[in-house]
Amino acid sequence: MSYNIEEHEDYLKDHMPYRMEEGEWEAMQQRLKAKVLQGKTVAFEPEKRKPVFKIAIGAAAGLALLVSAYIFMQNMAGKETIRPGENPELYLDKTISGLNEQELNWVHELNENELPEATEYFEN
Amino acid sequence: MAVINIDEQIVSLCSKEESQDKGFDLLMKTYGKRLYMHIRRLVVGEQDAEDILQETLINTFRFIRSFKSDSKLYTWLYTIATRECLKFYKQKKLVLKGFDESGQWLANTLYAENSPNAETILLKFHEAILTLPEKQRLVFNMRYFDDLSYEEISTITQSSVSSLKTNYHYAFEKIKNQLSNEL
Repeated sequence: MSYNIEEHEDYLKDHMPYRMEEGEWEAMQQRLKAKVLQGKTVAFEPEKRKPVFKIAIGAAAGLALLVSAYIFMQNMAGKETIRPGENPELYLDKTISGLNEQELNWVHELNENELPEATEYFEN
Repeated sequence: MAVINIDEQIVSLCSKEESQDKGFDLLMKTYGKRLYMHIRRLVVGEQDAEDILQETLINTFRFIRSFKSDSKLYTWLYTIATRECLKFYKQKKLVLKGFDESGQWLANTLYAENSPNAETILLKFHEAILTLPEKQRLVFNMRYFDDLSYEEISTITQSSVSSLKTNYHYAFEKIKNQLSNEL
């Protein structure tokens, strides 16, 4: 005996082998709401991060390069230099005192401009 | 026109943190049950369906701001839900080590979780759907139960309209033959 799906279409479409009572559906909605909207802090797709770290790393690399170049030049000139391990403050003093006006201004600018910490940005 | 207004309302409410509560309620009232039944027909298990609906809603809220109103909101929701179901199938296949077994596993779950008063014909009908190849099952469900157009199903599944029509036709014939043999 063949079963005609077309004849029984309405019945087959409207009836499911698994039913959910209204109370069960309400309860599921509440559970889902609590989990999906946990503390009302749904993370929206984040904006692109600002390249703050890149600027900071670039500045630090530049300063390190300057310092290294200065030490190298001092060594070439035969002047005494203090090794970093011996006395870091003295080392820093000597290094900075050896910088010219332009270099000093640049280092000063780096100190003055506070670079904010990179944080993730989420829209509200 | 009324449907479009509701979609706009849902998107607007869900996009702002202060109104997500209301957005959630309106979303569930408008599309919740349909989404749930679509998922349940594909994965069968009650808890699995709830978990997948949860993931669907989380992704909905996460990406709601990038929703473009040139497509229907329901189609977009359906796409997210269907992809979550396909992820579920993929995970099951890894566990069950083969497609045929996952179809049978779904059918077994159907019999384990069915309502005590479920009629035999309904069980046999859904069993026949669950043992279809995955693509045919998807197309059949969306066309037969949800009355989606082939164009909408094409957007959701990223398949061509002509291949969807073919898949639906084969699925329908298979189910008819299986029911004829079993009843």
